[in-house]
Amino acid sequence: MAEANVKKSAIRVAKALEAHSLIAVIFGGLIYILAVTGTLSVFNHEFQRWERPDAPEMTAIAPEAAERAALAVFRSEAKPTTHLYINFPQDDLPRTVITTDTQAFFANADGTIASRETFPWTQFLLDLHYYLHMPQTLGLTVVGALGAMLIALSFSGLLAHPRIFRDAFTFRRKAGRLTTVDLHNRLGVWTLPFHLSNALTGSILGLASILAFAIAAAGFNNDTEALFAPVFGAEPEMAAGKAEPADIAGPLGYMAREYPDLNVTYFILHDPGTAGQHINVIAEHPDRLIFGDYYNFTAAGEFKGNVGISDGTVGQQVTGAVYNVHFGNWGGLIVKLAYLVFGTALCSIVSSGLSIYFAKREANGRPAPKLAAVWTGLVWATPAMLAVTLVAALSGIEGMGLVALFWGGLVVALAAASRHGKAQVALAGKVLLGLALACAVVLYVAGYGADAFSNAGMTVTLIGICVSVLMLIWSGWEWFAAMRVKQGSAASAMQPAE
Amino acid sequence: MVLWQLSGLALSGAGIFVLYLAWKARQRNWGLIGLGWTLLLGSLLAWDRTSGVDKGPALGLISITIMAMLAIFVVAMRTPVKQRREARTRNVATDMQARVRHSLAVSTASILAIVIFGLLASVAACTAFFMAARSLGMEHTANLSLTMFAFPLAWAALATYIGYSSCVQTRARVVLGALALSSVIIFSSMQVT
Repeated sequence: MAEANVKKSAIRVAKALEAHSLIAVIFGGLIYILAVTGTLSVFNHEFQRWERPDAPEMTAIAPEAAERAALAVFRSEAKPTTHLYINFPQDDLPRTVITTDTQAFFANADGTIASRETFPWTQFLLDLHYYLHMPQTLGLTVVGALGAMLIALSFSGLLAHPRIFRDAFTFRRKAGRLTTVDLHNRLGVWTLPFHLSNALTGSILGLASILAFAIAAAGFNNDTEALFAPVFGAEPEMAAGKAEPADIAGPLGYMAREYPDLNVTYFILHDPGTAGQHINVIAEHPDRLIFGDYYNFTAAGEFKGNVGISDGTVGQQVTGAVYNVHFGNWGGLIVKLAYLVFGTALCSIVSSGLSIYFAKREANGRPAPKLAAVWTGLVWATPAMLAVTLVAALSGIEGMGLVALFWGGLVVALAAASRHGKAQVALAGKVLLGLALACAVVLYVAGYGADAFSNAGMTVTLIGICVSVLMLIWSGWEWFAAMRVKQGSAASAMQPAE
Repeated sequence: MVLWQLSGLALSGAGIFVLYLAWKARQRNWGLIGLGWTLLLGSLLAWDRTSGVDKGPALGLISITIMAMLAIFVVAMRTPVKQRREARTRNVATDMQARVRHSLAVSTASILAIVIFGLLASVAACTAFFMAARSLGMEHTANLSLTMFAFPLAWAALATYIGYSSCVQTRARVVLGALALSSVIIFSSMQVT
């Protein structure tokens, strides 16, 4: 009886492991790329700031100055924009940016326009994480689907782990594959709240459009806006006819007077210069997970109430928290650093999981050395190629150039990995990462001079130097160790047989 | 505020430590396990007082996870390195896995089923859920957010089931059955609304 139970449980574990491996082998590569880029994307504001250390910085901007800057950009547009945005200074990005449908500019604190806003590498990174560089809706859906597969990996991993509590603190050091297994399982279990909530919120963001299409087709005459209007508010009908641009300073002054505890992050003027123009001000609630709430105004600056993401229905409040929970921008630097630790853990979980899979195959007499090398290649080439694209961005390459460089480089790296084997590709990946980061720092300092050591440039530059040095020391250490082993085996081969 | 934060940190550390003691005990000690989880719950409650109703417990979860990772790190550093025999090449789990391993054709079919039928079935099931709840009078935003959360979870659950199940016919029945049932619910809800 007991033996039958053991067998039954072993079969259950084996089937769960089979499901776990199947999903991981097929989707693991893309999930890993999303994990790496997602971990870096948490710091997208810091990277944006670093890419332009010469942009004007301020802790706040007066409503009148913000209005002056917004109107200057609006009036410079050749074709009328349908939306005019003001991004207000935040702790992690203390800059004012005026954005239209086609362009964006930094504003000075006095409301004059400073320069065009650019952050090509951060934009490349965000596009990679949001869409895998595919067309937007398709890309979002694929990324959302990969989030669902990451949840499936959590489910199957838990099913395959019957000793989850008995092994809660087991960690066997320097025990080869067992250490990798322990690393994978312990991190997987203890960081489950993070990676489950992150995968869930990511897949909600990514898959929202196809679910909305389906529900709208079934019950809203294909009108997806009608589906989301009770959550985020409805967009009023466009009204024909021209008008003077709406009052911008008035609503901002109202927010400062009436809601001094809130942090205004965005001002959005819809259909500016038309009879139907209207205003949303997005304000953060410091004690909440929500991204903020919309405060609506008429073109004349009359307050029309908030949408209710902060104090409306539970559904509105929960939906309003999805974005921030995913990107970790709800609790300042401490929470971002925690997300960095958990994101790095997720990268280790994904990377070690497939390493275990290939090691098991080898142990079972079904080795796949080329595939194992390609996997190691992906693990190291992903950060290395991100660093190479950073060098390219600092050399003036933007947009599709960076996309082609990243994916082309990755393909070349994987092809090289299948030829040269696991150990060499891991070493080459670390060297490339270290050298590319060093090169990026040199280019950055040469390009920006003293600005490279300003508040905006210093921290990321120092981290870049540290990671670069760490990678070069690590790869040097590995190289010497490999040479020692090689020399040792050559020496023993030369000794006469007894 | 700082007092609550410190209490939250202390309780999460204490909770993880007590769970570690429970794990270290030779016999399962339900008292320690219960105490450990109670301390962790207390930590969440303390963090709840530091911020809003949603942000406080979220900070608590972060603090618990960080404490657990620190505990694992300390345990790893304290564990003596043992001289191990060559890793066993076979064990019960891998033997069983070899027995349940799918052929290449079945694996390919499973992946296609996960991607195509898993997606279709979960979209259909969630749309059906939304429409049914709507016709029963559920509040719109609650219904929508519940459905949005359910969709990836349903797809993930179906993907796990498709990968787990060894009988192709049974999984085809489950997935296609879910699709058919959802379609019936959607069409009947459309009649009602």
